[in-house]
Amino acid sequence: MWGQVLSSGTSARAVGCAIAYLAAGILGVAFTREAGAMAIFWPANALLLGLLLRMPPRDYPVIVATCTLASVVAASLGFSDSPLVGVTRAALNIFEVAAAII
Amino acid sequence: LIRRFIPSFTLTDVRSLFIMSAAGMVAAALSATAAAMLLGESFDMPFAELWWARWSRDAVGMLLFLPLVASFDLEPLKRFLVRPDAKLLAAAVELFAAFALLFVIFALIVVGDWFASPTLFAPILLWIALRAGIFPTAAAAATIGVGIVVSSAHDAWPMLLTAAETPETIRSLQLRVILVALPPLVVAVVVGERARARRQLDDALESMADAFALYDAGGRLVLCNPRYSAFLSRVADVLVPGIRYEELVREGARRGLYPDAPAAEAEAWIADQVAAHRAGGASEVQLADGRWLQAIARPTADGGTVDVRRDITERKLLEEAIEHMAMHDALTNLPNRAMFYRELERALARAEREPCRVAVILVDLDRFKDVNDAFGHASGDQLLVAVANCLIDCVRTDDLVARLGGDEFAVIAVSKEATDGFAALARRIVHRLRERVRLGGIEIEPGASLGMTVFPDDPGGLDELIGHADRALYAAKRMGGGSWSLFDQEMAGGRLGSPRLCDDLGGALERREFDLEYQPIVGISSLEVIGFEALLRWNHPRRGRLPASSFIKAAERSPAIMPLTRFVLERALGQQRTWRDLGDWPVWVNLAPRCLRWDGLSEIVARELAVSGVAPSRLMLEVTESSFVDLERAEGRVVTLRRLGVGLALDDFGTGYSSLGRLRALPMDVLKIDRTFVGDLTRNERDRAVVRAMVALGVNLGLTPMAEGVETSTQLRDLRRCGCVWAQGHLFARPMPPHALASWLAAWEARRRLHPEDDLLKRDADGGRLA
Repeated sequence: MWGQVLSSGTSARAVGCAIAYLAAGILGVAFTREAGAMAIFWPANALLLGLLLRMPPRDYPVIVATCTLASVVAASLGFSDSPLVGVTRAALNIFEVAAAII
Repeated sequence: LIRRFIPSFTLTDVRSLFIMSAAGMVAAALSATAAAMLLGESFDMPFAELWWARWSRDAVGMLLFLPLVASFDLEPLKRFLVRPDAKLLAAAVELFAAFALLFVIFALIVVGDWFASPTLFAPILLWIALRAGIFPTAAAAATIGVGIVVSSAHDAWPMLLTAAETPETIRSLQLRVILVALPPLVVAVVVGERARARRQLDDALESMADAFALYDAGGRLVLCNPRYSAFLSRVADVLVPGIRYEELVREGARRGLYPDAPAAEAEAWIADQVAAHRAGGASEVQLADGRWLQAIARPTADGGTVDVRRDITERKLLEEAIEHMAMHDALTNLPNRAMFYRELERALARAEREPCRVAVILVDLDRFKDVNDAFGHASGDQLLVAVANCLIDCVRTDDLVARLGGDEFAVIAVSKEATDGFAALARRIVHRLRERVRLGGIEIEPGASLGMTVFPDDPGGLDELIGHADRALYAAKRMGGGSWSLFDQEMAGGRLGSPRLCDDLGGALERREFDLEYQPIVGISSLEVIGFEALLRWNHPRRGRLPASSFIKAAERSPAIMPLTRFVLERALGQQRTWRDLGDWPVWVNLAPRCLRWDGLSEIVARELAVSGVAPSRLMLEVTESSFVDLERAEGRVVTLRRLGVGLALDDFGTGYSSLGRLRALPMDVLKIDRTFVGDLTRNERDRAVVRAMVALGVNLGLTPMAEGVETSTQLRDLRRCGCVWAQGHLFARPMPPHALASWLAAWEARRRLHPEDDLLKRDADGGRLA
């Protein structure tokens, strides 16, 4: 089963989505004002949601898992949060995407 | 949420954009709620502030980027790269120019310290939305949004340079970005929706088999499909949106598109056309190129007109063909009976208005049946076509020649001259139809009889006139055929009667209007009675006592022929049993040609023989030569009858066209030479040679030669010299009723004994007759 899930197409799509998500996350973090801890806009969730909707649902778990990791990385790169806060931010972002898509 | 409402995840309409945005907002709200609950302490922010901060950043992201991903489409770019064309290139240049303008404005704001308002981008974004579609608009909106946010984040956006960063200023910036980006997106979606709807409409219109056009309330063309242009090809160059229907019709009339348009009152005709178009309804129009159009105009709710035109040429041709078939005879292509009646009605109506005469001429071929029987139906059909052509040659262009059915034709001639002209026409037809016609390898003289009546000299109605022409035809027939007759009032009251006896035949049998007479057949040498021929007579309530020859053809065409044949057999066999005391002579019964088409003929004969108790050998059935010249099966039935043991005589021999081979194959006993040969017997040697040959033929085939219609002793003598064996005719006895048989027999036997044969002949030479 995992062989099917992690087919070359799915993996490529998952990696692509993760890179796009990471880039969008970095962009969002980069716009965050020094004074605040919140970005003015966050394009990563919209990008991931849009990409997921254009992809087959069977790829969702792998893509979501990969992008969650990317989200953690993006959060840890831009904010000096504790690891718990970083993971929570990442989980909330993925929750948002999942809420829209389900 | 999105999957449920937009399964294909495409921005096809405003609803999709709304659902997509709403889903993003709701998801962001859920996420913001969770964040405010979980991360409040970490950010050291009140719940509401954190919620707004989190929701607004995600909402802006959703509004800017979700449409961009949803509308992402590289197809136009690929198309352009694969096959660049001028249209795509122009669109690309235009898009590039628009983006360049956006960057210039952005640079002027950021670098040039211009008035910093995101609304400055709105006109360019709207331009892109109207011209380039959703994806370029989404891309432009996202670019502007990102640009403003990035510049704001790095203190490059003038607005934020003048104000401290507060949640309010950030919300204000976010709101402005959304206000700049969202309207162009909505516009792009609406424009795309309309463009797609228009494309679908165009596809539907182009694939329509019918021509379609839409006119607005002012009568101006809104749109039309290519088929509409093709239908109105003569005005296709002016058929552009905006042209008024009135101008179109006027131009069409000027260019000869409408052959029915009157040149004199063109404007009035155009006004009528326009009014009819506006009012709606269906009409059929024939174009100058012969095509037929059905035009259906239907008013729309806003006062416009939907104009649908359909090519109905094929249907029209079919209708014309059907109408032609309904009104014409398929074989000769002449008008048929229905059209004859219609045209006669018109001619009579005209004759009542104008001083003119209408001749109704009925033509009946004299020997059609013989030709049909002898040479087959194909030859008969050829003959009918030849006769039709001959009739057309004889009449004037304005006259009408019709085929009423079978070998009956009719002519309607209208003239302002006296009846003499019609008489000349009748003579001409009779004369022409006497000429021999070549059909394949044979030559036939059709011969025809004509009956004519002339309106208003004969002031009858339509049916009466036809009936009178029929009577005149019958009179011509009685004259021996090959002649014509003009109806006069004597015919109406006289005993000529109408050939339409079929109607009277129904029920005549039940009314006991038929009976039989008997004519003796004698041996030419011994003058002994050989038998009696039963002859059918009809006591017609109006026409008196009619011989079989006057109604047998009509009877053959009616269902009465079968019961009539049974009646004759029954009566004749009953009579044969009655006269057994006088002598056991066979009774001769005529069978109509149609009888030989019945499968049950032999059963009927066998049953009647059984019922009467008469021995089959005492029944002689007479069948005419024409009964089986074209009926192979008839031969089989004759053979079956022969097996019953009855005698068979071939009647009217010489008048048909039977071949010697066929004659030899028939199981006949008697060859009955037709009276026409006997009548001419004494005139010249040639006729005698013919009869001699016929007699010899009969003898050689093992048949007993017999002559009918013997009226004089000279004929009897000649027949004897020719070798004829039996004879029948007025010389011996006229047909007589059954009760007269005994006395005639007594007288005949007495005379035969008292007067030797020579004496008998001598008496006749003096002018006397035997009976």
